[in-house]
Amino acid sequence: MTSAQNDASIVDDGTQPHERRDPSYLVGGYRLIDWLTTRDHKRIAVLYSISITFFFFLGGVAAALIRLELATPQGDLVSDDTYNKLFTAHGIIMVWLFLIPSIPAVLGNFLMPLMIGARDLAFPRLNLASWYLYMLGGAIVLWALLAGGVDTGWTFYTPFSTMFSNSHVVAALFGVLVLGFSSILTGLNFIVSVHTLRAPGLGWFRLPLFVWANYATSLILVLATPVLAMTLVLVAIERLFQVGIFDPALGGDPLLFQHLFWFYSHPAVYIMVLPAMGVASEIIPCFARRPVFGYRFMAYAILAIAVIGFLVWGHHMFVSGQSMYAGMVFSLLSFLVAIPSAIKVFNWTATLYKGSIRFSAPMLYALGFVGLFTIGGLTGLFLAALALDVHLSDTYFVVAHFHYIMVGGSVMAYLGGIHFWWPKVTGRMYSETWGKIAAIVIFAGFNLTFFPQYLLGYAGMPRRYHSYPPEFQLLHVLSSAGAVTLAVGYLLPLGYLAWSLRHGARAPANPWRATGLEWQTDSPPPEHNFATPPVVVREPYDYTPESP
Amino acid sequence: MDKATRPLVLTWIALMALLATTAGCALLRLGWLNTAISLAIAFAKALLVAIVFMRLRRAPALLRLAAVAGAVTLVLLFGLSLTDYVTRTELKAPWQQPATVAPRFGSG
Amino acid sequence: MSPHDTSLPPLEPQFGSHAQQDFARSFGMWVFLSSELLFFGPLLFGYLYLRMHHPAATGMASRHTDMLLGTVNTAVLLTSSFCMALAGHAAQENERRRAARLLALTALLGVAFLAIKGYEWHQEFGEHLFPGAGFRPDDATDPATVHGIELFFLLYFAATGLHALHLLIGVSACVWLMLVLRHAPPRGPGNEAVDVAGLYWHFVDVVWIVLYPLLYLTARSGG
Repeated sequence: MTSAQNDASIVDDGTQPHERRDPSYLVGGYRLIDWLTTRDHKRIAVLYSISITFFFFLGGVAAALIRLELATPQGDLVSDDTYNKLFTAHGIIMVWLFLIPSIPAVLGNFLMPLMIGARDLAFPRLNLASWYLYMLGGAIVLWALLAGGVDTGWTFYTPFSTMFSNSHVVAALFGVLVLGFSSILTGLNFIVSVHTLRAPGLGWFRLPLFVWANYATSLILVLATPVLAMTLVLVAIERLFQVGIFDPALGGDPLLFQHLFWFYSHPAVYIMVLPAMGVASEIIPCFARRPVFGYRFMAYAILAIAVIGFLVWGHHMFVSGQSMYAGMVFSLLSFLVAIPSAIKVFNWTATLYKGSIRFSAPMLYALGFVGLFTIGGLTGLFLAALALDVHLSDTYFVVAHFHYIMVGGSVMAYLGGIHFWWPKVTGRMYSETWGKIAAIVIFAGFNLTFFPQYLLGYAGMPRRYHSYPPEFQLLHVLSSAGAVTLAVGYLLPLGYLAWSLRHGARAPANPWRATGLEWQTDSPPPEHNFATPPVVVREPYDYTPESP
Repeated sequence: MDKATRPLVLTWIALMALLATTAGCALLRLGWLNTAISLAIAFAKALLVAIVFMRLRRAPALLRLAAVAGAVTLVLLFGLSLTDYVTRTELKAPWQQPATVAPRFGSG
Repeated sequence: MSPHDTSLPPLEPQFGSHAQQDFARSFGMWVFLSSELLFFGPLLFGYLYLRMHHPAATGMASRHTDMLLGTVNTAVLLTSSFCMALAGHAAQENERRRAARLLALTALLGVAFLAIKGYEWHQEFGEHLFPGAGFRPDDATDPATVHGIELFFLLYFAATGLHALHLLIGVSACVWLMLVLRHAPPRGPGNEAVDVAGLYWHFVDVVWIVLYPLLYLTARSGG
């Protein structure tokens, strides 16, 4: 029993409301300035959640315009220049302003100290600095977009970005640089916290897999992001001084940019998916009432994904002019990275076996994550095969592949996590009916949007084109219809979650009867998280299936 | 110079000696050995600063791991990128479209 | 620590002991330094690319750098690291005044480095070796070699510029520490702050140790 459970004022399983001992973190300094100067990781998480939601919908507007344009074969809604700026804006915003921070900076910031039994992260002021850097980076990117936009694609490929683009490239590069530093500091904070602040009894193999996932993500954040930072600086220098480091006529090499860029950007996709896997590993055992299958393999698989993820970046360059021999090396390594991911999918599935499954809203999102991530992951194997990639590269097949993982995977897991921990963060229960409706609408809308894109890509539809031959129109119309459905699905939680803040039932400490230290304290937690510092004696995921 | 500062002084003397050696060797014509020697001496200097000045000598394993992690990642960047550069010959393009970006900065 | 120890900084609520707090801060600095190493990484890879593809031009370009000043500067920086290590040792012994004096000396040597570096840049600027419009080395005529030399100098100015920026931050940290060490905690910092600043300083030194042979000694003897 943790010391919290010994206290008679908290009922056994935490599912009943009770007298609070300490005021929640939301009470106390209530002025704006108290929130803007907070050192509380929970308040910083809330600050992030507001900014990230804003940028998600901004990126969504860009996507809506793209899908609207693509509903007809002619490029008739926007000019080709504007279209380039739209998909660039969509990419930059969704990757750096939404996906990379989403789970770590919102859920990770809130939950990591709670899950390890600590009173805060190791460096609270650095945590606040991370948020300010995020806001600064976001402001700079916004300025670049409003001042006329960037048309290079989120990948800033040379020589177009260095020699021929006449858009606000340097400003966008600077914004992304600042965002990169924000994420490095978050990663640093998590690494030091997990190593030094774990509660007594909380050995590494008693940690929730969410902690393992964010820890591995933090390793990538700290080691890969600086390479991106310097690469973007080199692009900016090249634009300003035209020295030719990426220009073959002047002795440079455009592939030098691609090697440096993808060295970060491939591990970046694992930054986007590993925390999502962590969320799934928390939700699935809880709503199947079974411990996660193969805990140690799950932990090792997380580390393996992070490590092998550093070795595969050349698969983005198979048709770029990279040497064929390097292509073979990267292709082999890319097949290897699928193995730990597959192990995780098998283990999530095995966790469900003979469980008492409850299809709550978080569970719908988590199961959706597992299925859609699997499809996206399998199509990655298509792309890892050299010969197939020659056909599929730069087509909509690639677009579908990464959206299955990043949207079908990461965004669904993010929403699942938001719902799962909503009672803990806000102290309110959301409407379970609306939660389920939104999850199903999102799942349906997502598949309608992106499955046709696999077919389009296989048939040869290139990516980043705003007009296309008429025979592709049916699939594009289906995809755009799906996008409308998806938009409705994403707007629903804005409605019912906001509504619950005022009118939702008050949440008990542990409404889901979940294991984990975060559920042993009040909903919402007090400012210093635990009334008395917890001591851990139980193994993680100590669930038992209920008798029927 | 007490017992605790002795290693620091000895390290400084060693660093100066290594610096003199590397500068001296660079002035001699030794072909590929020039590069090998200067890199080896740089590596030795870096190790001395890390182990003595940065106290890795008596640090817990975790700090040594953190110290090494960055270097290992850099080796991965270099190594796998070289699988491309070592196996690809660059051919000069016959013609290059001139840049259309605004005129460049510089000293002139 | 001695019974009259007044040099303990406040213990932040997330830490259980000073030992834990100190270790977390040192570990945090090491993690940061790992990421900084990877920040310099692409410039080092750029150098490797250049050396592989334009070996002759790289050698010619390296011989344009001022080896005497570069070597003197390396000695200055290595000595500054020595002073910083002594400062860290003094701080560990709770000799805060001595630590402050050694920090002042470290900062002074850092400023000397920056001054010499600035003079070198001024010289190179005058020789039209700054990349961009107006680049004109005096010993190369064919375009391929000129381009190679210009790329070398791009990496030279980028690497030494970034290094100088880091050194400036280090000097500022030393000056700030030197000033606040005169106040006992909680108004002033704890003794371990000198160690943590020292880690950063030594890292900046290690970066220069690697840059020096690459930039100044490549094919210095001509072959």
